[in-house]
Amino acid sequence: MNAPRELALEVACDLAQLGAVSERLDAFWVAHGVSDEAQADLNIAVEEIVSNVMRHGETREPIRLRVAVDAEEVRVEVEDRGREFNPLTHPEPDPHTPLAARRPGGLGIFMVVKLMDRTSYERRDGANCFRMVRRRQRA
Amino acid sequence: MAGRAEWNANEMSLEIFPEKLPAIQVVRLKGRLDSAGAPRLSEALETLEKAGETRIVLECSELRYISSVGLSVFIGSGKSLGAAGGALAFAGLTPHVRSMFEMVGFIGLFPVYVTVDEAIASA
Repeated sequence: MNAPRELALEVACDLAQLGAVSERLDAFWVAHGVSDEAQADLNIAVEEIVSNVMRHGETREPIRLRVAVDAEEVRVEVEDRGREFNPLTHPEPDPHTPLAARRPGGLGIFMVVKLMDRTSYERRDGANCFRMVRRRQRA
Repeated sequence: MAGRAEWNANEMSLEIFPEKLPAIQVVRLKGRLDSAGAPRLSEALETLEKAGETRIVLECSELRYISSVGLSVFIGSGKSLGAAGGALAFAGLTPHVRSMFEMVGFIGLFPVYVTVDEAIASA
Protein backbone atom coordinates (compact mmCIF):
# COMPACT_ATOMS: atom_id res chain seq x y z
CA MET A 1 0.00 0.00 0.00
CA ASN A 2 1.80 3.11 -1.26
CA ALA A 3 -0.72 5.85 -0.53
CA PRO A 4 0.55 8.40 2.03
CA ARG A 5 -0.45 7.41 5.51
CA GLU A 6 -1.21 10.96 6.56
CA LEU A 7 -3.50 13.64 5.25
CA ALA A 8 -3.43 17.31 6.29
CA LEU A 9 -6.20 19.71 5.32
CA GLU A 10 -6.85 23.36 6.03
CA VAL A 11 -10.57 23.99 6.06
CA ALA A 12 -12.06 27.46 5.63
CA CYS A 13 -14.56 28.40 8.36
CA ASP A 14 -17.63 27.83 6.19
CA LEU A 15 -20.25 25.11 6.63
CA ALA A 16 -20.45 24.76 2.85
CA GLN A 17 -16.95 23.21 3.00
CA LEU A 18 -18.16 20.12 4.85
CA GLY A 19 -19.11 18.20 1.72
CA ALA A 20 -15.68 18.78 0.19
CA VAL A 21 -13.98 17.70 3.42
CA SER A 22 -16.00 14.52 3.43
CA GLU A 23 -15.01 13.86 -0.18
CA ARG A 24 -11.30 14.27 0.60
CA LEU A 25 -11.60 12.00 3.61
CA ASP A 26 -13.50 9.37 1.64
CA ALA A 27 -10.75 9.22 -0.96
CA PHE A 28 -8.22 8.77 1.85
CA TRP A 29 -10.29 6.04 3.56
CA VAL A 30 -10.72 4.17 0.28
CA ALA A 31 -6.99 4.40 -0.50
CA HIS A 32 -6.28 2.72 2.85
CA GLY A 33 -9.07 0.18 2.82
CA VAL A 34 -10.83 1.62 5.89
CA SER A 35 -14.10 -0.25 6.42
CA ASP A 36 -17.41 1.37 5.46
CA GLU A 37 -18.50 1.35 9.07
CA ALA A 38 -15.35 3.08 10.30
CA GLN A 39 -15.57 5.58 7.43
CA ALA A 40 -19.11 6.56 8.40
CA ASP A 41 -18.17 6.92 12.08
CA LEU A 42 -15.10 9.02 11.28
CA ASN A 43 -16.90 11.30 8.82
CA ILE A 44 -19.62 12.05 11.33
CA ALA A 45 -17.13 12.65 14.14
CA VAL A 46 -15.06 15.02 12.00
CA GLU A 47 -18.15 16.93 10.90
CA GLU A 48 -19.38 17.28 14.47
CA ILE A 49 -16.12 18.73 15.77
CA VAL A 50 -15.38 20.89 12.72
CA SER A 51 -18.94 22.27 12.37
CA ASN A 52 -18.97 23.05 16.08
CA VAL A 53 -15.94 25.27 15.60
CA MET A 54 -17.52 26.90 12.52
CA ARG A 55 -20.75 27.67 14.35
CA HIS A 56 -19.54 28.51 17.84
CA GLY A 57 -15.77 29.06 17.68
CA GLU A 58 -15.98 32.79 16.93
CA THR A 59 -13.12 32.57 14.48
CA ARG A 60 -12.63 32.94 10.74
CA GLU A 61 -9.23 31.28 10.76
CA PRO A 62 -8.97 27.99 8.91
CA ILE A 63 -9.33 24.77 10.85
CA ARG A 64 -6.43 22.33 10.60
CA LEU A 65 -7.31 18.72 10.14
CA ARG A 66 -4.68 15.97 10.36
CA VAL A 67 -5.50 12.34 9.75
CA ALA A 68 -3.18 9.37 10.12
CA VAL A 69 -3.77 5.71 9.53
CA ASP A 70 -1.86 2.56 10.43
CA ALA A 71 -2.69 -1.11 10.49
CA GLU A 72 -4.59 -0.83 13.77
CA GLU A 73 -6.31 2.52 13.92
CA VAL A 74 -7.18 5.88 12.42
CA ARG A 75 -6.17 9.02 14.31
CA VAL A 76 -7.70 12.43 13.69
CA GLU A 77 -6.60 15.76 15.11
CA VAL A 78 -8.69 18.92 14.73
CA GLU A 79 -6.97 22.19 15.64
CA ASP A 80 -8.68 25.56 15.66
CA ARG A 81 -7.87 29.03 16.94
CA GLY A 82 -11.38 29.78 18.11
CA ARG A 83 -12.41 30.55 21.66
CA GLU A 84 -11.28 28.02 24.24
CA PHE A 85 -13.71 25.13 24.32
CA ASN A 86 -13.31 21.60 25.62
CA PRO A 87 -16.09 19.53 24.03
CA LEU A 88 -15.55 16.76 26.56
CA THR A 89 -16.84 18.94 29.39
CA HIS A 90 -20.13 19.42 27.51
CA PRO A 91 -23.06 17.85 29.40
CA GLU A 92 -24.28 14.60 27.88
CA PRO A 93 -27.89 14.44 26.73
CA ASP A 94 -30.01 11.63 28.15
CA PRO A 95 -31.05 9.40 25.22
CA HIS A 96 -34.12 8.29 27.20
CA THR A 97 -35.68 11.75 27.38
CA PRO A 98 -39.19 11.89 25.83
CA LEU A 99 -39.65 14.01 22.70
CA ALA A 100 -41.60 16.82 24.37
CA ALA A 101 -38.75 17.37 26.84
CA ARG A 102 -35.98 17.17 24.24
CA ARG A 103 -34.08 20.20 23.09
CA PRO A 104 -32.58 20.40 19.64
CA GLY A 105 -28.79 20.37 19.83
CA GLY A 106 -26.28 18.86 22.18
CA LEU A 107 -26.18 15.50 20.42
CA GLY A 108 -23.00 16.04 18.44
CA ILE A 109 -20.36 15.57 21.12
CA PHE A 110 -22.31 12.69 22.59
CA MET A 111 -22.20 10.98 19.18
CA VAL A 112 -18.46 11.62 18.76
CA VAL A 113 -17.66 10.01 22.09
CA LYS A 114 -19.88 7.02 21.26
CA LEU A 115 -18.51 6.55 17.74
CA MET A 116 -14.81 6.89 18.57
CA ASP A 117 -12.68 4.59 20.71
CA ARG A 118 -10.68 7.39 22.35
CA THR A 119 -11.05 11.15 22.50
CA SER A 120 -8.95 13.84 24.16
CA TYR A 121 -8.72 17.61 24.31
CA GLU A 122 -5.84 19.95 24.92
CA ARG A 123 -5.52 23.75 24.88
CA ARG A 124 -2.14 24.36 23.27
CA ASP A 125 -0.48 27.64 22.25
CA GLY A 126 -3.78 29.49 21.95
CA ALA A 127 -5.44 26.69 19.97
CA ASN A 128 -8.01 24.01 20.72
CA CYS A 129 -6.66 20.60 19.85
CA PHE A 130 -9.15 17.74 19.78
CA ARG A 131 -7.91 14.22 19.08
CA MET A 132 -9.88 11.13 18.33
CA VAL A 133 -9.00 7.55 17.53
CA ARG A 134 -11.12 4.92 15.82
CA ARG A 135 -9.87 1.33 15.71
CA ARG A 136 -10.10 -0.08 12.21
CA GLN A 137 -11.69 -3.30 13.39
CA ARG A 138 -13.85 -3.77 16.42
CA ALA A 139 -14.03 -7.11 18.15
CA MET B 1 -16.77 0.81 -2.69
CA ALA B 2 -14.75 2.15 -5.61
CA GLY B 3 -17.64 4.44 -6.52
CA ARG B 4 -17.39 6.27 -3.23
CA ALA B 5 -14.44 8.31 -4.45
CA GLU B 6 -16.41 9.50 -7.47
CA TRP B 7 -19.22 11.38 -5.80
CA ASN B 8 -20.25 14.48 -7.65
CA ALA B 9 -21.33 17.79 -6.17
CA ASN B 10 -25.05 16.89 -6.21
CA GLU B 11 -24.44 13.79 -4.18
CA MET B 12 -22.58 15.86 -1.59
CA SER B 13 -25.66 17.88 -0.72
CA LEU B 14 -29.19 17.27 0.46
CA GLU B 15 -32.11 16.94 -1.92
CA ILE B 16 -35.63 17.38 -0.57
CA PHE B 17 -38.66 16.10 -2.49
CA PRO B 18 -42.06 16.86 -0.90
CA GLU B 19 -44.78 14.55 -2.19
CA LYS B 20 -48.42 14.97 -1.16
CA LEU B 21 -50.32 11.69 -0.91
CA PRO B 22 -54.05 11.49 -0.09
CA ALA B 23 -53.60 10.41 3.52
CA ILE B 24 -50.23 11.80 4.33
CA GLN B 25 -47.47 14.26 3.44
CA VAL B 26 -44.30 12.49 2.41
CA VAL B 27 -40.90 14.17 2.07
CA ARG B 28 -38.20 12.13 0.36
CA LEU B 29 -34.67 12.91 1.44
CA LYS B 30 -31.64 12.12 -0.66
CA GLY B 31 -27.93 12.64 -0.04
CA ARG B 32 -26.27 14.18 3.01
CA LEU B 33 -28.18 15.69 5.89
CA ASP B 34 -25.29 17.63 7.42
CA SER B 35 -24.75 21.06 8.94
CA ALA B 36 -24.99 22.63 5.49
CA GLY B 37 -28.25 20.91 4.48
CA ALA B 38 -30.10 20.90 7.82
CA PRO B 39 -31.35 24.54 7.69
CA ARG B 40 -33.01 23.87 4.32
CA LEU B 41 -34.81 20.83 5.67
CA SER B 42 -35.92 22.76 8.73
CA GLU B 43 -37.33 25.48 6.50
CA ALA B 44 -39.10 22.96 4.23
CA LEU B 45 -40.74 21.24 7.21
CA GLU B 46 -41.83 24.58 8.69
CA THR B 47 -43.37 25.59 5.37
CA LEU B 48 -45.35 22.35 5.22
CA GLU B 49 -46.52 22.75 8.80
CA LYS B 50 -47.64 26.32 8.15
CA ALA B 51 -49.59 25.01 5.15
CA GLY B 52 -51.50 22.75 7.56
CA GLU B 53 -49.58 19.49 7.20
CA THR B 54 -49.24 17.96 10.65
CA ARG B 55 -48.57 14.35 9.67
CA ILE B 56 -45.31 14.15 7.79
CA VAL B 57 -43.37 11.04 6.84
CA LEU B 58 -39.72 11.44 5.95
CA GLU B 59 -38.70 8.76 3.47
CA CYS B 60 -34.99 8.12 4.05
CA SER B 61 -34.01 5.19 1.82
CA GLU B 62 -31.63 7.43 -0.17
CA LEU B 63 -30.39 9.42 2.81
CA ARG B 64 -26.92 8.06 3.22
CA TYR B 65 -25.46 10.35 5.86
CA ILE B 66 -26.83 12.17 8.87
CA SER B 67 -25.10 14.22 11.54
CA SER B 68 -26.35 15.60 14.84
CA VAL B 69 -27.64 18.82 13.30
CA GLY B 70 -29.95 16.75 11.10
CA LEU B 71 -31.13 14.79 14.12
CA SER B 72 -31.81 18.09 15.89
CA VAL B 73 -34.06 19.19 13.02
CA PHE B 74 -36.11 16.02 13.61
CA ILE B 75 -36.46 16.89 17.30
CA GLY B 76 -37.58 20.46 16.57
CA SER B 77 -40.05 19.44 13.89
CA GLY B 78 -41.32 16.39 15.81
CA LYS B 79 -42.07 18.50 18.87
CA SER B 80 -43.81 21.16 16.83
CA LEU B 81 -45.94 18.69 14.86
CA GLY B 82 -46.74 16.77 18.05
CA ALA B 83 -47.93 19.97 19.73
CA ALA B 84 -50.19 20.56 16.72
CA GLY B 85 -51.76 17.10 17.16
CA GLY B 86 -49.74 15.45 14.41
CA ALA B 87 -46.45 13.62 14.21
CA LEU B 88 -43.19 13.33 12.35
CA ALA B 89 -42.58 9.76 11.21
CA PHE B 90 -39.88 7.97 9.24
CA ALA B 91 -39.78 5.29 6.58
CA GLY B 92 -37.01 3.41 4.82
CA LEU B 93 -34.16 4.02 7.26
CA THR B 94 -30.84 2.71 5.99
CA PRO B 95 -28.75 0.69 8.46
CA HIS B 96 -26.47 3.72 8.96
CA VAL B 97 -29.28 6.16 9.73
CA ARG B 98 -31.00 3.56 11.89
CA SER B 99 -27.84 3.06 13.93
CA MET B 100 -27.70 6.84 14.56
CA PHE B 101 -31.37 6.74 15.65
CA GLU B 102 -30.59 3.94 18.07
CA MET B 103 -27.56 5.74 19.47
CA VAL B 104 -29.47 8.90 20.39
CA GLY B 105 -32.61 7.09 21.54
CA PHE B 106 -34.90 8.04 18.63
CA ILE B 107 -36.40 4.56 18.16
CA GLY B 108 -39.58 4.73 20.20
CA LEU B 109 -39.51 8.52 20.14
CA PHE B 110 -40.77 8.72 16.56
CA PRO B 111 -42.95 6.32 14.55
CA VAL B 112 -40.57 4.38 12.28
CA TYR B 113 -41.94 2.33 9.37
CA VAL B 114 -40.24 0.02 6.92
CA THR B 115 -41.92 1.67 3.92
CA VAL B 116 -44.14 4.65 3.11
CA ASP B 117 -46.95 2.17 2.33
CA GLU B 118 -46.69 0.86 5.86
CA ALA B 119 -46.88 4.44 7.19
CA ILE B 120 -50.01 5.06 5.09
CA ALA B 121 -51.61 1.85 6.34
CA SER B 122 -51.21 3.00 9.93
CA ALA B 123 -52.34 6.59 9.24
